[in-house]
Amino acid sequence: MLSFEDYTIQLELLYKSHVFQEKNGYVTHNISKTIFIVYLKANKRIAEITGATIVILRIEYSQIYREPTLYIQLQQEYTDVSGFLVTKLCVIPDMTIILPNHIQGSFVIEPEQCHGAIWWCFHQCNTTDIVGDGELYKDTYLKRWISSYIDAWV
Amino acid sequence: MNEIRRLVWNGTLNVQIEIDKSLIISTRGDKPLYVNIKIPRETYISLFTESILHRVKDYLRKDISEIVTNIWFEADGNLLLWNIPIGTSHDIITKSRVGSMNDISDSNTFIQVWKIKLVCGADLPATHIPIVNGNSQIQKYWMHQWKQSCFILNGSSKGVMSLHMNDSQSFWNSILHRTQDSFEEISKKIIPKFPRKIPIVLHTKGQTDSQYHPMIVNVDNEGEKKTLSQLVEQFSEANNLEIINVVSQGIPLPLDLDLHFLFLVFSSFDGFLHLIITHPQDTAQDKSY
Repeated sequence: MLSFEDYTIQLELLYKSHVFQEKNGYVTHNISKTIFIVYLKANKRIAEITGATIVILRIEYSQIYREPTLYIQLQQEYTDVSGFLVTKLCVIPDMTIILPNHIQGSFVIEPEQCHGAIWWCFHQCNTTDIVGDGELYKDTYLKRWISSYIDAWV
Repeated sequence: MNEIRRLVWNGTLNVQIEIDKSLIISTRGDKPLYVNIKIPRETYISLFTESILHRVKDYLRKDISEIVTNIWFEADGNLLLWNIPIGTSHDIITKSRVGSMNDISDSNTFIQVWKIKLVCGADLPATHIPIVNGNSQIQKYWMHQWKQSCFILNGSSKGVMSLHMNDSQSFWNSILHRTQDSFEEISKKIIPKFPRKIPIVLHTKGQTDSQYHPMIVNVDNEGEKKTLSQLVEQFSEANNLEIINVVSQGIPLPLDLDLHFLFLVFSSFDGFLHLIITHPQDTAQDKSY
């Protein structure tokens, strides 16, 4: 569990450390005080399984669970009949297939409404069990959360 | 209290559903096709999609299985989100008619019918959660709502996550088969006598896709139970509480009631107390309905 104040401090530190900007496939990002959105090119495995070309990660804070929350969208870019590059949301029956086999059972990923669009949410109810919330390691909570929720599959 | 819970559970809507013309075979010409159905207020409308289509299957261009994932519902031009209780959607969209039975001169013969549309299209509305796994997806979504509710009530989701598999299935079956006793028996295992916080969804903008989950403690620092008026003061944009109307389960609520009591009486089948806050200007626009 992470307080909102600690979340905003740790999110800013992570942003400044360029942890996402230096990822393979990084395209662009948006950041506010509480939300960090990162656009990445889909890696080969995800592209083959889902047909997606873009993976969008959205990190937010859940006031209910008092935890960071990961939302994702997969999008497919293609050129339409007019020659314009357009994107289409990829809807797949089971989003956990984008994860490597050995961690598929660790996460529940379901679609939800979020700020006027549909995002696939990594459910937060077992976040503390996954990340561990010992007081000694509180300052690195978000870094460890990213390691479990994002680095493990992106 | 049990009697009110029974009335809430048994509440129904008379709904007339116009079927999207693009789904209907051409031999019917331009004649609209309707399905009249009574739907429990306490359910998700998408649980009824297949049975609605089944009733008009002889007039459909395609097999139901080919179109069911591309279906959504609209009322008065608004998307009806399948993932909030249909009774709540009804109250949000038809806000002017809440409490309007007093205006009907012959209430014995008056039947209120809600007219909505079943729409089919390749491009789903932006805020419609695609249903690609049928009722099992709806069940998972509903269970996730209960995990959230349980976390707010208890500070942990373990009450839901540790339910016996038979209880989990019976809980869901109680929604499908409308068995209130089974629902209340299992929800009692999740809802504590003295909750930390109250699971509430506020609907404030007269739109089905405008929701807010306020974090409301049951008892404040002075040991007083939080009331509806305190909630409205904290989260409504209106300056004058006297002009505000708060509705749950189709019933206008007095603002002095405590939220724990309201939760126990009016909470929905998804584990949340849905409160609709309206202002007089919202209702004035809809008087023509």
